[in-house]
Amino acid sequence: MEGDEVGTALSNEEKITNLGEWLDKFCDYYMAIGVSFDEFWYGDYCRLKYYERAYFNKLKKRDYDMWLSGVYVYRAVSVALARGFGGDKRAEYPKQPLGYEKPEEQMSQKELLAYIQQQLEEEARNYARTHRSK
Amino acid sequence: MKTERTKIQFEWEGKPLTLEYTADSLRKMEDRGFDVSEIDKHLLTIGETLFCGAFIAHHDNISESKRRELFREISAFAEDGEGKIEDTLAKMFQEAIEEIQSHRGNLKWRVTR
Repeated sequence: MEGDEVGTALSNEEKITNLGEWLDKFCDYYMAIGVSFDEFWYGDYCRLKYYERAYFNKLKKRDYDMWLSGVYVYRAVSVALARGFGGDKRAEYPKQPLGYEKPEEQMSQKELLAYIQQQLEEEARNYARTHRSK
Repeated sequence: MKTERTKIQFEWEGKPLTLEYTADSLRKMEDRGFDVSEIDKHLLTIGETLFCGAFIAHHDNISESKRRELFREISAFAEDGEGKIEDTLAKMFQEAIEEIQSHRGNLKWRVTR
């Protein structure tokens, strides 16, 4: 019977006893990830998962950007050390942003990772050179 | 993946009606006496309650007694291939709850029985 069906859905581990309170908590959660108040209360609840997915993708991208920023800083410091203390004039900061060696076509993610890996290896070589020359 | 909530649409006195749930209408249903924890105690009337609640989103101006009358009319004739109207309403209600809570965040819930 239809009531059984609903009852089953709500009788999982987490049983909802107060719908308003339950919804309020979800409203807090969804608003924290960018859903507007009106969208939550009056909009189509099927859209909520897209907001959530977008939010987590944005977090992932932010993490990637922060990591990439670390790579740039690492590169700059390595070059400064190599040139300043190691006297290695060949060490230089990348001429263009990482991932833009193929400006006419977008690098695939795999290529980009390989490129960054290559950059990091180069940093390691710079570092080794700096220390050898000391 | 589901991109739009389930709705019931029909015509009544020449006007198109759309029945569906929103978070707001679920809350208003509770404000008006619907007790989600007591669903299993009201199996005979739950279909009617859910039907009346599905008016809140778009047709809250239609009186409660008119909604009940419509429910009796519809459920008397509804064998339209979609199954019983009560089943569709239960599915819609369940869908609303599931879609709202199907998050992956770190929020922990403590819900009392």
